Amino acid sequence: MGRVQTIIGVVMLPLLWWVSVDVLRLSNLLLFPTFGSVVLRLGTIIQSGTLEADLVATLYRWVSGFALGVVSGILAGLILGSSHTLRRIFEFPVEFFRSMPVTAIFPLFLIVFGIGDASKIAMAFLPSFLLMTVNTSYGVTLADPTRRRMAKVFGATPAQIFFKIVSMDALPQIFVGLRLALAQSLIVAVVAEMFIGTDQGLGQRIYDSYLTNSITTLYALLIVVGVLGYVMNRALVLIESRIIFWTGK
Amino acid sequence: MIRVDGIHRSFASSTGVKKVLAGVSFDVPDNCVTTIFGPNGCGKTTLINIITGLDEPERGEVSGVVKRSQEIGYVFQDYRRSLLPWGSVEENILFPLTLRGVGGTAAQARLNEVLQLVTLPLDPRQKVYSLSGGQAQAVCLLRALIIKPKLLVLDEPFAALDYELTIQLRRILSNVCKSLQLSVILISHDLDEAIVLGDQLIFLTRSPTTVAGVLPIRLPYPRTVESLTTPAFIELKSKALQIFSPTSASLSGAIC
Repeated sequence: MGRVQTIIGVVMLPLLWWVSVDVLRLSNLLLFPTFGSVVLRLGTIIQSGTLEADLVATLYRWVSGFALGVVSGILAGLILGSSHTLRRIFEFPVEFFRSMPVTAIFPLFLIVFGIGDASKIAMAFLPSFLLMTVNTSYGVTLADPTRRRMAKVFGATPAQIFFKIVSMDALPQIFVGLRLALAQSLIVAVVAEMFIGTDQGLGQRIYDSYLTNSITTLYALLIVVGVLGYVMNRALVLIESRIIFWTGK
Repeated sequence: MIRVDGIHRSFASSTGVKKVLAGVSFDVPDNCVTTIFGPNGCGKTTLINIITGLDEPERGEVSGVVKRSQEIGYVFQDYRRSLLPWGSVEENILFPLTLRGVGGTAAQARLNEVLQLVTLPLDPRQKVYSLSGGQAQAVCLLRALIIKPKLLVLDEPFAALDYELTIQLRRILSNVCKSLQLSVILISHDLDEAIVLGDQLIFLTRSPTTVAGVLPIRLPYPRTVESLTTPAFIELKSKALQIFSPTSASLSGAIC
């Protein structure tokens, strides 16, 4: 049943697009092209062989920024979550930067990291880091006090309580952070390519399409970005169901 | 023997300092089950936390327990939340040994020993989130026993179970305590349970809490559900109710 629902969800959007634009012509085709024309353009892009290089470049920047953000964010979150004092001290800077659109401060990244891949990776890193810090820290504070007491009464050291109880109890919230960070860092990686500029990357191709008024190409590339995000999210959900199998049971 | 001597404990509250324990003293004889019965909020769990070393008294002391974490097995009231939901039955029971770095064949041998103590079917590989309430609490009991404790502490262990499971686990607990010759402290808010499982029953007053009375229980073993209807049990229950009678001149303040 779950698979059927997923298929309905996947088919629903193209079907709606096809009916409203291709059949009923409810939009201005210069701004919102037909689904059929976009699919044909996507086929052309794939056949031309240019998509692969753009996809790899964006994947590299996205996954690098995301992974760095995850590792450092989890570490920072574990530390902040364990100390009420540190949590109070860092609450302002974390929330300050978390509320700020990363794309709006891209000049800062240019100054520090230059115009190469480093600045784009750094931009993808920041939302990932902040989301992981906040969610991990929150997960640590949610660790069950009864389980902590249980470990303590059986002689667990503070380190054992932290690694065997608190870290495990924090995992569900860490995965909430992972899913949010995965999507956010993809958005920022694509937008960074659009703003900062690059030879290869989906963001650059989308921006080029916009500048040259190639709206059909633009939508074809947006589908690629959407599918990329969906596939990665599904992979993460699969990993999540294997690792935190006990949640909701 | 474990001696609980003049324990005092207060907590800060919105209205100032609230005195919870006001000089609680009693002895826990070796190889006996000491049941503690008192009203809600009288500080039973606070008292247990002090005995097990999770909390410190302001005054008074607990003597007779040398290395608390290695000599005390603890069974929590909230058994689900005290288990590791990501672990199997085996991993949960062996958890105290894992903390001490004991593994391999020694741990497996000990696991097999304790699994023989309960009559409930337990698959060591089964994840604990799929266990029934009775099985989950049995895992908590075996986890407490795996360290061969000198003192077993049970904090209202059957409070969240239905009556049928409670009867079943009471029988298991009673058999285990006698066969292993354990010293046991059991907190209960069920007077029948406190009598049928105990060798002595400590009554606590309302907060600020002191000991209202001690009732020796000399019912024959094995104690089963049938023990609850014997004349000896009814007489003991009658005595217990007298202790808790608010008109009892010798125990003023004990209004439960």
